[in-house]
Amino acid sequence: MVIKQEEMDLEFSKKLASEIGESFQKCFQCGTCTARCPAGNVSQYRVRKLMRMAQLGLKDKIFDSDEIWNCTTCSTCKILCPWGVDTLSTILKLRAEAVKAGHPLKKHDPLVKSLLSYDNPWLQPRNARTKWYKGLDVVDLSKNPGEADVLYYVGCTATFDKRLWNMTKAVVKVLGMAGKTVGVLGKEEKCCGGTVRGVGHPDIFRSLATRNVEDINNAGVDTVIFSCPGCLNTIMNTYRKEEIGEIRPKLMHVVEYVAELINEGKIKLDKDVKRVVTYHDPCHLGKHCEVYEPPREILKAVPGLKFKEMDFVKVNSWCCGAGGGLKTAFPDRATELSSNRLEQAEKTGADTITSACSFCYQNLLDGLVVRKSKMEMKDVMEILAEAIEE
Amino acid sequence: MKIGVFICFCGNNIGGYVNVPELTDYFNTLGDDVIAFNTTFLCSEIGQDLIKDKIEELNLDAVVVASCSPKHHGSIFQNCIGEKINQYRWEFANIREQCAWTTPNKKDATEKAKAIIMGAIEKAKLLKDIGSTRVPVTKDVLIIGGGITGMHASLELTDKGFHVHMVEKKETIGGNMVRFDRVFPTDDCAMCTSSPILADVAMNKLIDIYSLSEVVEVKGRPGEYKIKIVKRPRYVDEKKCTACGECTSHCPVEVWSEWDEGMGLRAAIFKPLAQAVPLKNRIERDSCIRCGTCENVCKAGAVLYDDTEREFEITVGAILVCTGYELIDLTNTEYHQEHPNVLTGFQLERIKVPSGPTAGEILRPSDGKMPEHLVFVQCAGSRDRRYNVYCSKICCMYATKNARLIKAENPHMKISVCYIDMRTAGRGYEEFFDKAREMGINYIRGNVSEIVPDGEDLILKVEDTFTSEPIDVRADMVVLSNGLIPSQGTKDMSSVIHIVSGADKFLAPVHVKIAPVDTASKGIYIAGTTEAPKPIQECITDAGLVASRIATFLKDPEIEIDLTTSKINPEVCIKCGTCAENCVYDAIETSGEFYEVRDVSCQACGKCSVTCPTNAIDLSLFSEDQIIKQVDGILHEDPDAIIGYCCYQCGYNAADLAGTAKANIDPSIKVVLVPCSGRVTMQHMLYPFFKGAKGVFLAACLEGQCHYIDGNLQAKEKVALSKKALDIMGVGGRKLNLFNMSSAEGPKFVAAAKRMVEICQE
Ligand SMILES: Cc1cc2nc3c(=O)[nH]c(=O)nc-3n(C[C@H](O)[C@H](O)[C@H](O)COP(=O)(O)OP(=O)(O)OC[C@H]3O[C@@H](n4cnc5c(N)ncnc54)[C@H](O)[C@@H]3O)c2cc1C
Ligand code: SF4
Ligand code: SF4
Ligand code: SF4
Ligand code: SF4
Repeated sequence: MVIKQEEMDLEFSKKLASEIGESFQKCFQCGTCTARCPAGNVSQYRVRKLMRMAQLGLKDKIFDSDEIWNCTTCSTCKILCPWGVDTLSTILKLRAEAVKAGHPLKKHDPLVKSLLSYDNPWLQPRNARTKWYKGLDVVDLSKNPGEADVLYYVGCTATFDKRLWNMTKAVVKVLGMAGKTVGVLGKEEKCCGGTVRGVGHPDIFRSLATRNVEDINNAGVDTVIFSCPGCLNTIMNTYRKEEIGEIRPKLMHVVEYVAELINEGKIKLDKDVKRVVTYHDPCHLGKHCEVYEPPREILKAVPGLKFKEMDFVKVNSWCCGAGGGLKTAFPDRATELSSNRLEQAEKTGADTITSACSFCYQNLLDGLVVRKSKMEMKDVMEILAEAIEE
Repeated sequence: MKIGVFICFCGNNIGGYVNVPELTDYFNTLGDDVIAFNTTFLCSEIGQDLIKDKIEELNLDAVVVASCSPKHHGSIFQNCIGEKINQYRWEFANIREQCAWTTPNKKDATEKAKAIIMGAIEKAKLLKDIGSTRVPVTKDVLIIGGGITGMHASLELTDKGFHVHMVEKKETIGGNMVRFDRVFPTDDCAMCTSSPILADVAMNKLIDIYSLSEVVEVKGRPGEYKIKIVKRPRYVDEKKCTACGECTSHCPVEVWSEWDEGMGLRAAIFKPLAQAVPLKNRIERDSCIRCGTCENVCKAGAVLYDDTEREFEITVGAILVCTGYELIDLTNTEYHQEHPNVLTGFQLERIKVPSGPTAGEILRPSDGKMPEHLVFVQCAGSRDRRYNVYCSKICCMYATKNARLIKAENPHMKISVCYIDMRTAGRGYEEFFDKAREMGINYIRGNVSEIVPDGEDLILKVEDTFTSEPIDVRADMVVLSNGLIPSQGTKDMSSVIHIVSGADKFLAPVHVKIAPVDTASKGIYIAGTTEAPKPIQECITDAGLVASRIATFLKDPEIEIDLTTSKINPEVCIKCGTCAENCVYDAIETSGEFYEVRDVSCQACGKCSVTCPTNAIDLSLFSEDQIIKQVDGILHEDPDAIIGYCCYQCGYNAADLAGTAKANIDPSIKVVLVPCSGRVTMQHMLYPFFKGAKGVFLAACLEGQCHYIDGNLQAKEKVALSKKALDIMGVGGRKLNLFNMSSAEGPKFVAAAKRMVEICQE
């Protein structure tokens, strides 16, 4: 097939460049990105080719294929690119353009509709947000601002997926031990907007973001902690980049907060945890927020626990495949990736795979089933809770 | 004082952006003492004739040339004007690089050009005749670095009758080439090619070789440089040692050999190669256990345990720096150079040499087995923002050379090359690459994303971009095509001799295109891989050119020096001696009674005039008042201007480069050329503000890179003081800034200009 001159819309690439910067135009097609792109390792998706198509302005070709919907937004490509191409912004921009041009990915429709109606991607009623903490000592800061030490921004995934409640409860338990009262936004909590932005809806993202900034500022706390690095990265980094509004409290992942408490001797760890544990760096916590050490410090502080590193860790770690809407759009590819990551984890001889992300949690759990692996999935906070006497 | 203004259209280069006729008319309305003309190409013969005719016809006292950067055709205009009046009675207005090309709006550009030209006219009114003097030259040449470039240049120079002093850091001359097996594009044996050259240099009566030596200080002037050299101890008497090797065979020490890049062993007393020059042994003291064996076995009695470091001085007329390159170290990176089976390009050369540690056999270090799949990794540390952005130019060829040679000897070995682009331009080079593919060498077009160690083997993550398939390439031995970087010695010489280097840290010629081996200092030259990565062939070309440049410079017993130097006004001088203390060139002498500038030593940087408490000392060109007048002229046309004092070596070049790149620069930015940022006085910094200027900045060399050693540091101090003064005066010290940049950093100039505009708008 021959590409016609008319199909090369150089005005389109010029427009992209004016909106996200011209770095993609410098791509010299070396393939460094593709060689390590997790999505490309389980599909025909090639981030390098996408950059080339963007340079040539082949917009119809981009919109008509499902290429752009494969990216997990892990950021590996952006970090590795020898020429400093901002691949990730280019991909997200192309997704937004595809949606604008009437080419959204059908499989993302329910997610988008749910967000418009319920402020969460999982088609759940707002009231269901309070279920996980029934009976726990948790303050609803939307009703009683300032009545807690920290605001725990739970994130939609952990809020609605029962399999993760052991983790959210562990957060409350650990902080309780350190004498901290935990606050939440209850049914007023809203999706951070990272996912809708990721699947090409910057406008819905903006509306959520604006309301979130207000809610967080009104909670009357100094610190907000997150279980989900996706939410953390969106609220801490993307809101700033998109100039949504100033957030007053300090934002940190729960592992950062807790590692500090342990360092200060505020948490007593007195029970042996007989596990061999390895840790998977969530892309959004590691590559995006550059938090690598705190989860490791926590695990290493747990008595009786043996810690093993995988071959690919920190900035070099492999994505589990959960992000960027891949799990909704192509669940099989997502689990194939988590299965690959689990294979690396098994090589260490660990009996437990840990992480610090709600998305990774879900996807690694699914991977364990597919692989029929004997390993167990635990969040770092769950492990920590095991080390604390009731 | 009658001044002729000559404005050039430069075809469309200026004419397309600036309204030249309007400018000409404007300058013809100023009064009788300014007369303006325009022409299509002022640098052409017609243009030059116009200037000469008008000087004569109208009795012009000085000329203003409004055209391209003086770095381009400055010397043409100087010579042309010099035919009629004193060659320093002209001033340029750079309305091409620094105006037409950076100002897209024609009206803005025309207004800016007006201000620039007015500045030049005002300065021209103060120009005076500048004379010259003749000084004797020494016919000796110093060559620093005995690689192929240095050796070849030394032979060329001695053929022309000059005496050469060759200073070499290592125990032998020869450089990197003599460590190789064969060399592209001819595949002839490196040693067979270079040993006749080594021998010629060794036997040449006109060449003195100082091995294990380094230059530590350079003083003096063009034609008469005083060089201080330190020679490290060899612990073997060079006069007595016959290089018989008895000592080496008895020495009990075995350590990894630096010469073999850690691929083989050496004793503590050794010579690096059989053809070493000088052919003498050496004790490396860190590895020597002082057992005394060598002293006992040496029949010549050459072992000298108490040898010491020696310092001595020589005088030369010219200096050539050819201290070469080294390879970028990729240990503990995604390339895993620390893995025993990941080799550098140098390491492969050493094991390929028949006289090397494996007698030329390709054996992998971890277990001594011949690899089944050998993979070359191109662009390792080159063309990558995390390491070096430049292309190292020769690695595509050197990898292909070694791949071909190994394939020819071991047809069954699988050999792959992972690359981004194959850069094989040159006579016979493409044919060389073509042959490699014909031989069955497997070229994979994709950059290696990561090398993953897997026991003794390695897995390379790479996409074959032609088929769009990511591949896990399994290799049992990997050779990196490490990028080239300037050698430590090259970087050292940059600071000892004050040669400016580029953003890539290689030493920079005064003009990459038209003066590739000249530096900004007369009598100091660079050549070979000191300037940029290049193959041997180009080193030889450089060597020939540089020998010719040096011979031209030293051909007469005397050279002419223009007296653009500083002068002391004895009536104002209070004999405090501040200038003499500050001059790094010892150019100011005193007989006790009064102070005087020694013209031949003065480099005309002007730093002295900044420190003199009574303004008794001033430069003849770029005098205090000339600069002030130029600023006056600019502000007369544009009272809101931002004045940017740019140093001749770096800031001004960077501003020109910004123009060449057609960067957008706010028209309020007006450049004033100064020899050195250290020449800018506090008056220069403050005065523009009194006249209404929005801001003032200095664009100087990078710290540690000042061509005049410490001018930019002096400027830094003065800027800090002036900032305080501006704060006190309520103007705001933030409106005065110093920016450091190398001559190659156009974008830095653009950023500085942008920052100034922002600050001045706040
Ligand atoms: C692996 C590899 C293979 C190559 N193969 C080929 C090939 O096949 N064909 C080809 O054309 N080119 C080849 N090249 C390029 C070739 O090596 C260079 O072009 C050439 O050797 C450069 O010579 P030079 O004299 O400029 O520098 P160098 O060879 O680096 O010599 C510099 C000399 O200066 C000395 N020195 C350094 N600092 C000081 C100091 N401060 N004081 C005194 N002395 C000092 C050094 O000790 C050295 O002797 C290859 C390069 C590599 C890396
Ligand atoms: S962000 Fe990750 S998944 Fe997306 S293209 Fe880059 S490497 Fe692939
Ligand atoms: S790594 Fe960068 S330059 Fe290379 S293909 Fe990918 S985006 Fe392009
Ligand atoms: S004294 Fe040093 S150099 Fe001499 S034989 Fe002993 S170890 Fe070797
Ligand atoms: S010469 Fe070839 S291998 Fe070397 S940096 Fe340039 S393109 Fe890369």
